[in-house]
Amino acid sequence: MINPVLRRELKTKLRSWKAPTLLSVYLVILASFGGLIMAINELDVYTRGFDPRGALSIYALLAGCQLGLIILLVPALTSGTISGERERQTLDLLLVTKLSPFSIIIGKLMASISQIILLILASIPIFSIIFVFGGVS
Amino acid sequence: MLEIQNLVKKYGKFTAVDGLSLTINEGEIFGFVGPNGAGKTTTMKIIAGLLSPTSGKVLINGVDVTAHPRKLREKIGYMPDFFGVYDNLKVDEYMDFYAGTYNIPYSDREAIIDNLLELVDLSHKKDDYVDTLSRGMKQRLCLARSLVHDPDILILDEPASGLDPRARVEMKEVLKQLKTIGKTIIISSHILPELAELCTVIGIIDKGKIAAYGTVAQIMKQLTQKRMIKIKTMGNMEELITVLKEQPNIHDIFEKMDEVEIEFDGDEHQLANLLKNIIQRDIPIISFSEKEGNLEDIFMQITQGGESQND
Repeated sequence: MINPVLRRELKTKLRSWKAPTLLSVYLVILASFGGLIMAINELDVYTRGFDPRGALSIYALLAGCQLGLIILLVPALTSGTISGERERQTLDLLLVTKLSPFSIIIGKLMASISQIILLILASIPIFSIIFVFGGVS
Repeated sequence: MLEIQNLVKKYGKFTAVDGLSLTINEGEIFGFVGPNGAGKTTTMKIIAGLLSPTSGKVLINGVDVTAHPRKLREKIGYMPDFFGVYDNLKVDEYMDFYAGTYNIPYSDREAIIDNLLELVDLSHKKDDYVDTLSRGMKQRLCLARSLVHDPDILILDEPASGLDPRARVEMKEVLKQLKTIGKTIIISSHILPELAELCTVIGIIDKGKIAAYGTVAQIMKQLTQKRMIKIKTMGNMEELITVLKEQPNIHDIFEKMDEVEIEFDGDEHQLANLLKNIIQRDIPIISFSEKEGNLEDIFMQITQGGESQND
């Protein structure tokens, strides 16, 4: 059986407006950062147009940006999960059940991790644009 | 069987529960009555295993709740006085979630959930989101949720608080049904009359101590030695009063608008004699009845001023 906390979290998280908003904002930031570094690359007076030699560093910069965003997002997504139950006055209901405190935490953690994985998967198209230009393999 | 032995819970200097002892037998509906801050919720939370007592014991079928909380979780259904629901979750999914937390296999869940929703009359709301339900419906849903693992003991902390009269009646209907199933129910309220017709035994708690214990009738008797009798006559009231003044066992006579109220301190035989005597004197009596003891008054009497001190 899947952890019931995880099951519920995934259902409710993806149904709220927050999940698609977070996804969109995340992708917009990542895409505009990607666009910006590509534009800077094309500014080079000697090459004119896209310089494939710079592709690797563009990729690295973009990955760095992704890392930075995730580092910011993980605490935002995870820190409030248990206290959120308390605020919503649902924690007591959860504690009187047969669930162990450990499986409650594991369920919450897995739910947050899967949301992060979703963000990373959704950013693959942005990264693949660089492959179109070549220079990275 | 649930046994509470000398339970004490202190929050710093404040003593919420002060040496409370109780025995609740199987199949009983125990009404826990007391003003706000008397220690009802604290006691119930300790029984549910959410709080650990400062001292004392709670035994369920001889097993200590504080020593083995996990073992007893499946025997207890708990409904808190304040609770929240999750956003973006449908009624049947909500039930399914709590069924999952009790390790109920997927194959059994649908039947259990349908039955319980039927019991609390929410079948038609199965596909609605829980956060869109009304307060009364949420309350009933929470009751269904606390029954999902078929517990022997049900702890309901003010299940009717904040409900309108109609929702109260509906809640009462559900509880009556549970009574017939034979569950042991501990139900708390700060309104005594609300519990009077439902409970087999009532315990009145004040300042962390049991102030009165017994069936409703026993408690009433314990607290009102004198009966109030209402007498109505078609004839002259003055005449009735003069006759009454000659009778024994009458403590006091009050003249009301269209009736006479007397404080009577004799037993039932003496009361019958009283009526006989009045009729023999040719007074046309149209009503002779015992005034229902006002539970509210009794409650106020027992819990004098408790509220202002503790809140």
